[in-house]
Amino acid sequence: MIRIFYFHFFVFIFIAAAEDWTLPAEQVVLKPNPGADLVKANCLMCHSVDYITTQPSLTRDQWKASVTKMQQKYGAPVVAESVDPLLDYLLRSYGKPATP
Amino acid sequence: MNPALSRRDFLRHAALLAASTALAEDAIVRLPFDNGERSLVKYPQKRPLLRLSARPPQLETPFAVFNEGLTTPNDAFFVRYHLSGSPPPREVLAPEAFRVQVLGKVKTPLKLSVEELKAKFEPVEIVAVNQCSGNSRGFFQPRVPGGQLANGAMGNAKWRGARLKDVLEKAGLAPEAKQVLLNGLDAPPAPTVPDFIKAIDVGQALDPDLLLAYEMNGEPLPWLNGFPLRLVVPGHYGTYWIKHLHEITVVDETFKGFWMDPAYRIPDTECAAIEPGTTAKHTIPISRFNVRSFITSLADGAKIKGETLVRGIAFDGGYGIREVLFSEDDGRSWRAAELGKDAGKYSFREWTIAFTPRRAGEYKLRVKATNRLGQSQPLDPLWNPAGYMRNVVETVHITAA
Repeated sequence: MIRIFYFHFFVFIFIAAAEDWTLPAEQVVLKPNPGADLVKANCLMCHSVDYITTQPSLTRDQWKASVTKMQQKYGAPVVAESVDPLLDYLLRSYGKPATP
Repeated sequence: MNPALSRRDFLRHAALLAASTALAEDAIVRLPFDNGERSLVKYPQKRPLLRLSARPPQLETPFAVFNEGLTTPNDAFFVRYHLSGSPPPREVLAPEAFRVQVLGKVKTPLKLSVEELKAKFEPVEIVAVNQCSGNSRGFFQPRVPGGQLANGAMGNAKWRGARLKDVLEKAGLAPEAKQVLLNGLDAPPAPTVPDFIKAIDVGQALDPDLLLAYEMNGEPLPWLNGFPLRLVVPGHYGTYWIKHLHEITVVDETFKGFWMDPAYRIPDTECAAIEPGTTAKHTIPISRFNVRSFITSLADGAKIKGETLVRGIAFDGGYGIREVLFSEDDGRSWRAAELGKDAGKYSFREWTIAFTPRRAGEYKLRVKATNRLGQSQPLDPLWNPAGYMRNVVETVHITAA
């Protein structure tokens, strides 16, 4: 039994060693507009920047719904006075231009 | 030879190799919707795939792969995680460390290694499609927030494993058992973030087609597809196919965790659809796939000359495909395609049809499948707020010479 265990153990180590189980780096960075530091502090512990940058052009209400969901459902540490500056940043950097 | 020098040489070569890999990774694909630029990135055990997000990893299969064969190669199979820190590290997945437990309302709790699962339970093989609930979300109009996927968050594989039913019966369900909770080793980054736990009713859990799978297309599961064990729920969206499955907990109530409610819910309406831009009054957990079909041998913008064999795939939520219709005139007239080998009711079904353009110019090719229940696909897209379950009759624009 022990021998079988060691056999499987070494086979696994061999296979694992033959493969590199390292994830490639995150590449996308935030647009350097005012408020980028708020995104870093409040959003990036749970997900990479591309979660934001791959979204379609969202309205302020849609961004607000996302930020509220992150706050209330996922416990993102967004304090109340940060919400508006965060939305300003998201809208300016990745949002839908206001229709004239 | 000077060992220091050889080490330096090695590092230099490694750096060159890394640089050339980085160059290869820079390939950009433009998915056919606004803001659809994606990098093709190489992950462990994977060929370069369309990267939607880096952390947690979300990788989409380039659509051309679906024309390579009826099953999707492991190295091209899509990847979708929910929690930062995924996938779990190698140490906790190694055979000497990994155990799956059966807990809660059972007579005898179990704790099993993958070797024990293989040895003590009858192995079963099923060919089944796995598809992300939000596959094709990027095509929704109006657009909705969420992972902006094209049609590549699906795949078909031959899964091998033990029946969940057999394992639950070995443990012995208590009479009050109502739901089975499934949890994987991917853990949340903070205590406030809800762990990714899914629930299925006991009746469904005893369906003999649900597997605790340890193999995919004859190989151990890839790391990014749930190594060493994942749940396979044929005909149902990928959200239930828990990866790195280590806890099966039987409970006597309906589970209300975040990932069952409010996440992964659909409007409780015909075809899960509501008026675009509105919110649903009542919702239910997402469950079975609707019917879909695709042309795989011709991409949008393709040019053909003379008689061309058009090929594609169709699938549904596990009743089986009865008919695939093909139109070369944007849906005005339809012809039945020939169905390929039947690999089981949960598999992609190949179809083929000969198409001879009678004039030069542009054509809108469309494909529409019907399953054995008579369910089919809408000619115009349906809409729901989460961007789930897209299954419009697809159109491919081509030009004949």
